[in-house]
Amino acid sequence: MQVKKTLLRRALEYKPILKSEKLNVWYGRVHALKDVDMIIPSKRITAIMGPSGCGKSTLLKAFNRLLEAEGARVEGKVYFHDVDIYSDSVDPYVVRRKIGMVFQKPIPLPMSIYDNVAYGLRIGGVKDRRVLDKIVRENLEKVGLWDEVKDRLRDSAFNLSGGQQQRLCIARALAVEPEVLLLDEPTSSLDPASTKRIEELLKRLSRDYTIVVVTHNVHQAMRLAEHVIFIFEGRVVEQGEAERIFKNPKSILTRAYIKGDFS
Amino acid sequence: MQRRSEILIEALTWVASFIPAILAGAMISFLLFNGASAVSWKFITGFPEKGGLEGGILPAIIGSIYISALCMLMAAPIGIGAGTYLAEYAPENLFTKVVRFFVELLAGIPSIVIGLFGYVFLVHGLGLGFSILSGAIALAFMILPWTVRVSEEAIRAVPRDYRYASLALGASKWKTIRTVVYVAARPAIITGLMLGLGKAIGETAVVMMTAGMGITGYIPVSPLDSARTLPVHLYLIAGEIANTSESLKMAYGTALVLLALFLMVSIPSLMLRNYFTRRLYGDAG
Repeated sequence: MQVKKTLLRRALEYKPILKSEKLNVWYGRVHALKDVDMIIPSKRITAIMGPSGCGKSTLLKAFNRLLEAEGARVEGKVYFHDVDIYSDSVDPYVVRRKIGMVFQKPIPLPMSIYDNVAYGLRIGGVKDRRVLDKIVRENLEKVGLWDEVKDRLRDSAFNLSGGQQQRLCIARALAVEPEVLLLDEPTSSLDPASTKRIEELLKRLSRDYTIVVVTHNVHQAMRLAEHVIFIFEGRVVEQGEAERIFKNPKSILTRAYIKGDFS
Repeated sequence: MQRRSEILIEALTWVASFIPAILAGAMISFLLFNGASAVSWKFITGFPEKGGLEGGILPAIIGSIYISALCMLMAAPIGIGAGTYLAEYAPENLFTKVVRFFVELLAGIPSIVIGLFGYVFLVHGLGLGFSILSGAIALAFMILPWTVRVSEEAIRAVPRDYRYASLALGASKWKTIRTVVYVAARPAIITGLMLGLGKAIGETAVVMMTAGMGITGYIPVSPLDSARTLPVHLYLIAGEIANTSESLKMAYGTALVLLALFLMVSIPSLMLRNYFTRRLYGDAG
């Protein structure tokens, strides 16, 4: 009964939270994304997969307007709910608080564990110590780091292991209460045990958040994703429900990639 | 054969590394040996007598501290500001190239030329006279290229990733620079500013032509007072006044105090730098 209810709930929630239309991105003269139309369903894990250099990280960074900071040129539309985040009236700083991001390498900021998690809140103007304490704790608990660090919150975040640092980065991104969490190959620099922990964490988080993971690892996409977008040379080759794509890909390219013919 | 040449290179570099260490050690021991007897409480807290051949060097100590502090007050913020612009905001265009070129150029101008410029434009042109203010401004001109370049390099050395991580949390660019980039660049900036300060404390030519030689029986108070710094005092008693063993002894003593003053500035800044580095990277760094 419980299972059925969950399925029903999830079926009803299968609606796009992010959508792109004719999205084109240039880095200087390099045309990195070409006419990308895609959707990201709400409160699920979407995997963007493809060989290295295919534009999957670029697509991820298009969702939180981080591309601008890198000096890329963006054309086309990206809708978050129903708002085009590239329209003039939209503040990129607000977009980035609603759509959080975790990078390939864990990037703890040069400050304490506590201050890392509190960073986004403080930027948002939260000063009350008790509020900060509470949110820091909640989010460290969410990523399963609280018990490991509760006695050394004042320590530099660099003292944590790579896997712990990546979980800290996830906690930091969650602390500003985003709706979407973008992760750019979040486990590629981690050992198998840490990778497993992060993957389990992402599955848990997908109940409350929309998760978008970039990966070049087909097995990781199979383990995690409910929705898949396959990109090749800057174009979306295929997208849809993960089960369907892995079992019965429409494109020969997708089939070859899943089989491991190229990566 | 390969191995023998490897050993030779290592030996040569070892010798090369030893030369500066020996030089520094020899100079300091020489000064200690010859000057220690001149340094006394009276020497540090007294006024010069007989043109500096007797008495103390208090006005020059105060003058040195006053001028270099005022100089840093100008050179540090301008240097960090310019470094921030060049590293974070400057587009790669003609203007940026011109700015960089002039900063490099300023670094190459001999200090005596900066002294001349200060003499013409600050002492006379702006009517600041031979004063601490003129001296501090001229010294700031001299060390600005260093503070600019060091700040720029320190800021550039901060990994790009930090900026993206901060931006991705909704921070504005300036907020990111202030709360992340400066924090990460702080140890290197402190080191750079300290080197600039060291140059300022030791500079003679610029100060002589802009701050004058000061009245020896008088502690400078206003920034418009003329002042004598330790290097200027050293030059005057060692070079200008009769070259006797007495005057040389006073010169060695002055040199020792100058060295001590420099250490008193650089040791705390090194400690501060190490403290910030530790805070940044914890035991991992």
